Amino acid sequence: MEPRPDVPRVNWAEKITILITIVIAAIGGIQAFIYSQQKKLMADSISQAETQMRVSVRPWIGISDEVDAVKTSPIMFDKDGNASIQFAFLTRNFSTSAGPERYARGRVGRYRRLH
Amino acid sequence: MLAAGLVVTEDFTEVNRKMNEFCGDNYVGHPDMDMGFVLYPGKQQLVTEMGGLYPRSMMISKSSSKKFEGWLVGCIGYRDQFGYLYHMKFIYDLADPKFLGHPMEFDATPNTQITGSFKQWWAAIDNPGEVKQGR
Repeated sequence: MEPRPDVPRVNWAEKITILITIVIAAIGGIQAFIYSQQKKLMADSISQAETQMRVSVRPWIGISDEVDAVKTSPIMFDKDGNASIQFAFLTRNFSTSAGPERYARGRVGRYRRLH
Repeated sequence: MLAAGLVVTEDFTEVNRKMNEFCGDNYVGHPDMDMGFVLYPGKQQLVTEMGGLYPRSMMISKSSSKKFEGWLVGCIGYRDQFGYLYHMKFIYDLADPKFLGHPMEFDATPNTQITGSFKQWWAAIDNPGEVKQGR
């Protein structure tokens, strides 16, 4: 194909400039990818630190380790064979942090706080 | 909150189902309805007194003796200062006072009562992945 006389030819300097621009753009893309990965790693690291901090101060509430932590009445069967029982559990916070024990309103049960 | 109940059965699937039911949102840690006491570390203890019923129609025995065992199953739900909800599940079984630690088997005879002592049979806390935030 013959070169058109009205269209200027691309010289070597322009070709090198275009090539360098493409390389710079590619490097920029790689840098953007690396930065996004670093951001993700930093976010994961912060999340892990938060989890570790939360776990280290979390409350541990369970049934008390005292001998009489669970008190019950006998299991009683009525005339139809249905079973019923009364019971009491002692719960205690074994951690070094306060733990709000929460309950849903309207449930059967009485709560009494000991010292 | 501590939610617990009586199960009279010889079917461990039912025991497990009931325990998980007590750990559900309907009982402990309901995001819109939860409230309760702050339990501080140390000697302070909270007494939860409750009653449990178990209908005769739900009693199942899969053992050859066709007798039943008594179980107390339940769950403690509580939150930390950041609002994360934790569970502690537990199962107690009725032990024979004559053979301490040995599960007691009995019939559901009307107008009778069964006396024994409940011993901890199993207990567990949440897996870390199950802990969820929110009030």
